[in-house]
Amino acid sequence: MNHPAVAGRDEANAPQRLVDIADLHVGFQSPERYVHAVNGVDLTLERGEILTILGESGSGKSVTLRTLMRLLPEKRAHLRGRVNVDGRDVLAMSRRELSRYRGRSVAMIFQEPMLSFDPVFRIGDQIAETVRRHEGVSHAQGLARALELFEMVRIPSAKRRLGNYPHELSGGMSQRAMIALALSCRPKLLLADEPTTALDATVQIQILLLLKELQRELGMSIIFVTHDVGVANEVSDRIVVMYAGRIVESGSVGEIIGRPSHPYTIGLMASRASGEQRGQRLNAIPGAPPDLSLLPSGCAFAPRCPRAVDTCRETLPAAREVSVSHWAACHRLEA
Amino acid sequence: MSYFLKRILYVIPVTLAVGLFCFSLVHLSPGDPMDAVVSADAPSEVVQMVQRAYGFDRPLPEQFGRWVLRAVQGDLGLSAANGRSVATEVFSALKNTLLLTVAASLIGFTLGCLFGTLAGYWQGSLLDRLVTGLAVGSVSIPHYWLGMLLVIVFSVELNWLPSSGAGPGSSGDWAFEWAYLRHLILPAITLSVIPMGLVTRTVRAVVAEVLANEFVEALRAKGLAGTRVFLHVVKNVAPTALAVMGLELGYLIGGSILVETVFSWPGTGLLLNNAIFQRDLPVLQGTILVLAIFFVMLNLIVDLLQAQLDPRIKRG
Repeated sequence: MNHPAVAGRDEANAPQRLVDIADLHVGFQSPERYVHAVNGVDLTLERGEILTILGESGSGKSVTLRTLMRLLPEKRAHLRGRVNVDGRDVLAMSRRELSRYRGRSVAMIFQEPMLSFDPVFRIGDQIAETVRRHEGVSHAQGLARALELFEMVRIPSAKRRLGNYPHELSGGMSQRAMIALALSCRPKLLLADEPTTALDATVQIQILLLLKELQRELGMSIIFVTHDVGVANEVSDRIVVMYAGRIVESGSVGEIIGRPSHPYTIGLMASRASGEQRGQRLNAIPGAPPDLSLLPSGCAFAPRCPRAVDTCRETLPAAREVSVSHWAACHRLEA
Repeated sequence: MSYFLKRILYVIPVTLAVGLFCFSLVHLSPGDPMDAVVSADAPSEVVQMVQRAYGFDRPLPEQFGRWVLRAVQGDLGLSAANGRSVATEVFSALKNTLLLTVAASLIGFTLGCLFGTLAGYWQGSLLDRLVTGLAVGSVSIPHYWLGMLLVIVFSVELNWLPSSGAGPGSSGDWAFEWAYLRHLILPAITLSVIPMGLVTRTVRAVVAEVLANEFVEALRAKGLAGTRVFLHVVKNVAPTALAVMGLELGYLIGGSILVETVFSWPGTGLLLNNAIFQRDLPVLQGTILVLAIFFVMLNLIVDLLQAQLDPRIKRG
C-alpha cells in the first residue's frame, strides 16, 4: 500500500482504482441503541466512471458516501473496513490530512444547495476561501478562479453573482454555485448526495446534464446517491442498489434498469410511475424497511419479499453472478 | 442603504412617543405634583405662585410643547426636592451608571460568550451541564440579595473592599485608579451575574443551532479546519448574541436600581429611587426620558450592527 503522504499525487503511476471500499461497516452509537447503518459494503469505482448508489432512505447510501470523506460525527460513528481513495487510506488519515484531502481530492455537493452555503458570507468569498485553503493563493486570485468557475457552470452575469449572498440565488442557481465550489480545486472524485431532489423538475435535468458534461470535460469520477430511478438512469454508467446497509445488486445501467434481478430492485422498478399506468394504483413494495438496530440474521429484505423461503430468513445470501458485470445477492434468483 | 436610513428615521417618532409618555407620567401618577414643592397647609396664593413658576397652570398641550422645547435644549427643569438642575443631576448620575454598566457588561458578556460557546460546542457533555446549571443559577439569584451577601463577606467579614459609594470622597469625579476601582468591583460583579446567565444560555442555544446547520458540514467538506469553521460559526451567532447583549445593556442601565441602592452607587438608579420616595417628579421625568432615549439609541446601534453582519435582515 502506498504511503498516504506520497500517494495520489502522481497520476501516471496510479493505475489502481480511484475508489476501493472493502467490507465497510458503519454503526452509530446512541444512548439507547446501536444502529447498523452500513453492513459489509464492497464498492469500487474506476477513474472517469459515474456510479449511482440507489436506495430508499435508511438504506445506508448517504452514510457510505460520507464515509468517503469521513464526514460522520467522530464520536458516535464507528467505522470498520477499508476505504481507499486514490491510493490513500481514508480511515487512517489524521485530522490534518483529512482537512487537506477534503475539498481537494474529493468534493461534495448536497441535497439542499440553499442550505449548504454559509448565509452570512458572499458566495464568491466562500469559493475563494476554498481555493485559498488548498492552493495558498491570495483572496483576489481565489475570486478570479471563482469567476472562471461561475462561467464554467454557466451562471448568467457571473461577476455580479459572485457578490450575492446565498439567499439571493434561486435553487437551481445555488446548486450551480455549489458545483462551482465543489470543482474549485479540481477534485478527482465528486460526491453528489441527492443533488437534484430539492429542485424543480425542469431544473433537475439541467443540473444533471451540466454535471455529466463537466465530468466528461474534467475527467473526474462521480458517485451519485439518489432514490430516484430516473436520475440514476439519466446519469450513471453503473448502478448499485442498497438495502438495509448492504449492496443487493450491482450492474450497468442497462442491466439494472432493463433486467433487474434482485426482488427488491424488481420491486423498485415496478413501483415507478409511468404513462401507461394512468388511473392505476402504483405497485408499492409491501411492508417497511427493517429496523437497523435489530437486523435479521438472514436476508434483510425477506420479510417483504414475495419469493422468500426459509433459507432467506436464516442465512445471508452471497453475491451471485447474473452476467459478467452484473450480480445480485439473493438465494432465489431463479425463482 | 435605504434600510439604514429607514431605521435611523424611525428613531424620531419613537423618541417623541417616549417623550410624551415621560411628560404624562407627572399627570398620570396619583397625587398632585405640587405636593412635593409646597406643604399641604400653605396659603393658596403661595400655591398659585409656585404653580405659575413651574408652569402647571397652563393647558396640558402647551405644557408639553414648552417641556419638549426646553428638553431639546438640554433643560430638564429643576428638582422639586432641592431646586437643582435636573439635567446636571441626571447626567452626572448617568456617567456613574454607565461606568457600572460597562464594567458589569464586560464581565457578564465575556464570561457569557465564553461559557455559552463552550457549552454549545460540547453539547451534552459534563462541561455543558455544569455551565447550564451555573447559568440557570445566576439568572435565578436575586441580585440585591447577592449584593448584600457580597457586602457581608467581602466588606464586613474580610474587610477587603468598600461596601458603598463610587470612590473616596464625594466630589463625583472618577479616575482610573485603584482607589476608585475597588469601589466598582462588588457592584459590577453583582450586576454582571444576570446578563452572564442570559448571554450564556442564548449563545449556547444559538451555537448549537448554527452547528446543526447543513452548511457546517459543507464547510468541513471543503476542507476547512476547526478554527476556520469556528469563524463562520461566530459570524452566524453574532447577530443574535448582539441583539441579546444590546437589550441586556439597556436593561442594565435602567435596571440597576436595586444594585445601586444596595451599594449606594450614585447613578441613575439611586437617583430614581430617591426621586420616587421624595415624589420629585421633574427628576423622575428627566431621568426616565434620558434613559429611554439612551435605550432607543442603543437599539438603533444594535439593529444597524446586526444588519451589517447578517445580509438577510436588510431584505425584511
